Amino acid sequence: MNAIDRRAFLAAATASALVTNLKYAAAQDAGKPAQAYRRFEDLYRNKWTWDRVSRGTHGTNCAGTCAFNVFIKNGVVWREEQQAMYDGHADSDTPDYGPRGCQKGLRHAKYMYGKQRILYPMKRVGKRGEGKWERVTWDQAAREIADKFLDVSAESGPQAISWGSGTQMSVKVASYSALARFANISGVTVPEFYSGVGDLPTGVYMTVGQVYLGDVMASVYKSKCVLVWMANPAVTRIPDAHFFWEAKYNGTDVIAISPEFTPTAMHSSMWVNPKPGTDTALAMSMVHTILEDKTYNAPYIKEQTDMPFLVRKDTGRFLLGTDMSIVGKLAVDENVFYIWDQKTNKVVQAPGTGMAEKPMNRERRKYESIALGNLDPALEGTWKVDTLDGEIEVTTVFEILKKHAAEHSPEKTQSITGVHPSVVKNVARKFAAAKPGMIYSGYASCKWLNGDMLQRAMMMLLALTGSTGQEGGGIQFANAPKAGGMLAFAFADVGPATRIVSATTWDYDHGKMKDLNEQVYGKELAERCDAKYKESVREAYFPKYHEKGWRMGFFMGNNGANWRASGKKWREDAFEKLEMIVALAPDMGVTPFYADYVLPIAHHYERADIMFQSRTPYIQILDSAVPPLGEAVDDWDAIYIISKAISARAKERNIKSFFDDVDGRSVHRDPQRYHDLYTMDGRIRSVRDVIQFIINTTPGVPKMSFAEMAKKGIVRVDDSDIAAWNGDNSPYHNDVFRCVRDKRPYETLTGRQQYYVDHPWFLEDGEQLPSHRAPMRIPGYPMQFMMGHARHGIHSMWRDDHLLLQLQRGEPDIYINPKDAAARGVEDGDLVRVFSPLGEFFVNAHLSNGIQPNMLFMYHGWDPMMFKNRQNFGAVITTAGLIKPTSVAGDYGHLGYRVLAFAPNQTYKDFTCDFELAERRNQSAKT
Amino acid sequence: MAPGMANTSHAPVVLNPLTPIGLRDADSARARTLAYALFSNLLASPFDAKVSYALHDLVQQLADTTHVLPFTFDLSDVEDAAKAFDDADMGLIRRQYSGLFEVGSDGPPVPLRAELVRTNESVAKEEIIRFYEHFNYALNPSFQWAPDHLSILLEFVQTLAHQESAAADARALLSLQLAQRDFVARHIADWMPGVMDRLSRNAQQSSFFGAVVTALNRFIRADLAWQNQSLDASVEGAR
Repeated sequence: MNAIDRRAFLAAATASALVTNLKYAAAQDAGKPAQAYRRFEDLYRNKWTWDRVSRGTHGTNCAGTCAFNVFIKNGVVWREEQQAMYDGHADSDTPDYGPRGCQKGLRHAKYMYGKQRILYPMKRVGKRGEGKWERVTWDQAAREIADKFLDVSAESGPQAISWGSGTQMSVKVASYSALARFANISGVTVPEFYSGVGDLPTGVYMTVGQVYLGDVMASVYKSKCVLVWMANPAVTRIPDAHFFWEAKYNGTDVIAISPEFTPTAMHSSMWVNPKPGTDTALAMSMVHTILEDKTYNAPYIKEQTDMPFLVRKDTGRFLLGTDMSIVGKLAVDENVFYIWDQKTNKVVQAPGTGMAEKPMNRERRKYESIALGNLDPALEGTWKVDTLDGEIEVTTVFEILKKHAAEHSPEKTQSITGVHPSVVKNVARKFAAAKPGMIYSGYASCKWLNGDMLQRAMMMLLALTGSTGQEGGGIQFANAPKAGGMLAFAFADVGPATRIVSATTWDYDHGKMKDLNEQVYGKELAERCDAKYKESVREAYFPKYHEKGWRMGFFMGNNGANWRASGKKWREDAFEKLEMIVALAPDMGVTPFYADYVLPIAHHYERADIMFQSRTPYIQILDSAVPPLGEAVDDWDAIYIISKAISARAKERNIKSFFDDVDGRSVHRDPQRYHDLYTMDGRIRSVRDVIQFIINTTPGVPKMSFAEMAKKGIVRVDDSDIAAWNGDNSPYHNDVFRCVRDKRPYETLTGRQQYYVDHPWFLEDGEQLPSHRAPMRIPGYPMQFMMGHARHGIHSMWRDDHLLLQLQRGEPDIYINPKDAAARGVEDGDLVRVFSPLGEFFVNAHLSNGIQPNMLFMYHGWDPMMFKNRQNFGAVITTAGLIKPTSVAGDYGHLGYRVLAFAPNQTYKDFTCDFELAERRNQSAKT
Repeated sequence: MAPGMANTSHAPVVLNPLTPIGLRDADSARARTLAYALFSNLLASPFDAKVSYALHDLVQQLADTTHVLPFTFDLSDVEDAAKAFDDADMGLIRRQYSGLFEVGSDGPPVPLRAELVRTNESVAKEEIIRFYEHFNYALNPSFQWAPDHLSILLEFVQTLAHQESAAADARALLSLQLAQRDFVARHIADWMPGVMDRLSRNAQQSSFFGAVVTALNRFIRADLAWQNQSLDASVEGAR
């Protein structure tokens, strides 16, 4: 090329579109004078400024909903900062809520750009789990997914398609509403994760017919004695832990009860460390102490509980209207219960009873009263009464309880719990003297097979001391918003037609869990669990959505293949058997890894939503700081795209509408209309419209536009003047407060806080009152395996962040008592193999004297992708198939399947395993 | 050498005899503009509708450009890889590109975003933005989330070289030349070894796009060396 040719070539080439049409630049401001540049330091002469500061938070279910400012420049989120603009306090004498935040949230501006992000729709091109992907367009993915959806729906019914959700959506109300609406329209099965992750407080429900009893965190400050039981707020409630310590310095006894020495125990007034799985024995021995001391609140338990109710001594069943010769034939008196009135010395119908048992008549309960008036129910005694069966002896629940509690005296339980009787009595007396007392419980109590009985015992302690229904008292789980707004959105135009099933039973049915029970616990136990569950389904206590099989699974807002209890087995026998797996997620993890299609979902700062979290009196807004990265979309848009493809393909394939049998109701479903129905015929255009719908229709939410809310970031809700959700106009459930304050019947069979359950299955298993049951041990495997929420991650989110990993060991670790380690030749830092009859996983040994012998402790949430062989603790947990018979009982007032209220929990903690040295890593260790 | 510049900046380079050293003129800027534009296009995502995917044409243009660059640059490995590559098969192009650069179980096998390769990601990203602002380079909103993507970094250098080719006065010219050298050294050359390391561990290293990245790595080293040699004398005087 000579000089002339060269010049001509260059002139032509640089004038071509290749050079002049920039691919990425929006525009270059030619009019703006160029700045001189001499060296890179020149770049730093101008002050760094932000284009915008938006309000945001992290839409994960850590219960924090911490108000953050998010700083944006050039379309990039650079940093975040705690907003700190809370308006003070719950009332005049409690600490305030701000600032709120933790290291995970303060790391998110970096994490959201990390390598784990899913940025584009991906299609699997290798075998499942091989990790080979190709990027595809949203159109291609949606079309292929839609075709499979329509095929399965036509061949097996929509119930053979699951649309699972999880903790990434549970507090993002608008996104969750979108999912609920599509599920309602299409009839897909939604395996609910509340029980699925073992978080459902079934024992609380058995007692008061309600699971949402939590108050704001300032309530801790109002308590006089807080038992922090199966909870570790110093680690798991970082923005709120200060309430405990401020309460302590204000004179409240903060007593931590946990087998391991937790960071919470470290700061508490007292630490009680029962052996793992013996908490019910400890609780009942405290009950015994209060009964023995006669320090119980008699007026409260006479009015609010079933303790004065009469029980037949011959059958152990409540004395009912149907037993009595006078009124037994009158249908209207179904479910009449009786007390013995000490003033008239007669059997008298208990006020507020006599309502129809099936269905629970909630409307009527609003107008009934449990006020005793002139009655004075006896708590103790035995009497003879005339019944249709002749004269029988009756006594009270309280009388039975006294004898039952005597079996759990502190002296008798010491050998079980390892706690000295003097400690038990000391704690029980402190608690009884406190007005009011509180039990701050984590969800760990739900993860034990017999955790329901622990919760019933906790509730009993609170009832005996008159603490439930008092500001600063009661049991503290998270409350939840009254369902008005979300359900109104889900059901608008179409009516309720949703299939929601417990993930526990769904997994049992599809994961061959009976086989697991038989393998680990023997045929007798396996057959019994199975028979009771099948009877429950046969009798329609629980739904039978599983009967058409499970062929296609959507996983949205969750990492479902991570958290399943017996995860290895579930993955092999259920998950990987699916004909199509679609994972919708912001980050890579084990669930997307095994999926056929992976669809990118917007992360916390890339989307709008409205967050309800009862731990504070504020609604938190999630506003879009930047557009979703790559081709990510928010959950509303993802369902929008998929539903549009389903309807388009249904039209192209001429797929007709059909009638769908949902719980005996015939529901008309038309795939060609799914998309129009989802968008309310175009009236709902984006998640912001959903949010506005929620604002407009949810009680207790100040009525304003989303834009106004987004400017503030946080908005105080109505009826939040005191540190308890006791008002009728707040967004949160206040049922129990109403029962105590207004003397309305509880939503239980007896209309009272019900401690005696005379359902035949409870009597059969000796669970009519809460009792200690020995933890489930596997012979030959001595180590009780315990887990808890982590400091450096929320479930599996942020666990793989490299900076947060530097604050830990850089890899998953397991806490081991040095004596157990020494017995196996393990030193700190070694790699150990943990094993059970189900399988094995490998993990870093973290030796700690804070762990009891014969116990292992591991923070949960580590994704299998972070372990050798991609197996985490789900490879050794043997309990996923343990469906407790009493948790599938029905035909008994409030007992029977009730969505997000009564269902069997997936059991996580109640098993044993063992460990051995796998690899010597500690260079200083003697070999 | 400015602090933080890559060690490769003074690597031996064979100058193209058509462009004597010191003769850093409009033609050398045009040639480099073209080369950066072509590499930017070759490494743009084929899912981006704004990009031309006549890859053989791009390779041919790049091969032609090697003859006018002010230093010798061999593109034969890319040309060889292109021979076996059907650029009419958009599916193949997309699969190969996305499988290497965009998607994967632990992030893409060979990330093209600097922050996924280098360690001091936030500081580096901030400086990239400062460079862009200094020279009025504003990204389209849909690409703003990834200002450190290799293809975008190359396009930015392309715009600087293009401005250099039309610069009217000596001060502006010098600004643009210094900025190119620093930007290439501090924000491309410094993490290319990481990209090459990941590529060497990937089965697709000999694929078409693997060959493009390998060629780019050589090109960046050669260009940076030439920039240093062509600037050293005059720049020190100007400073």
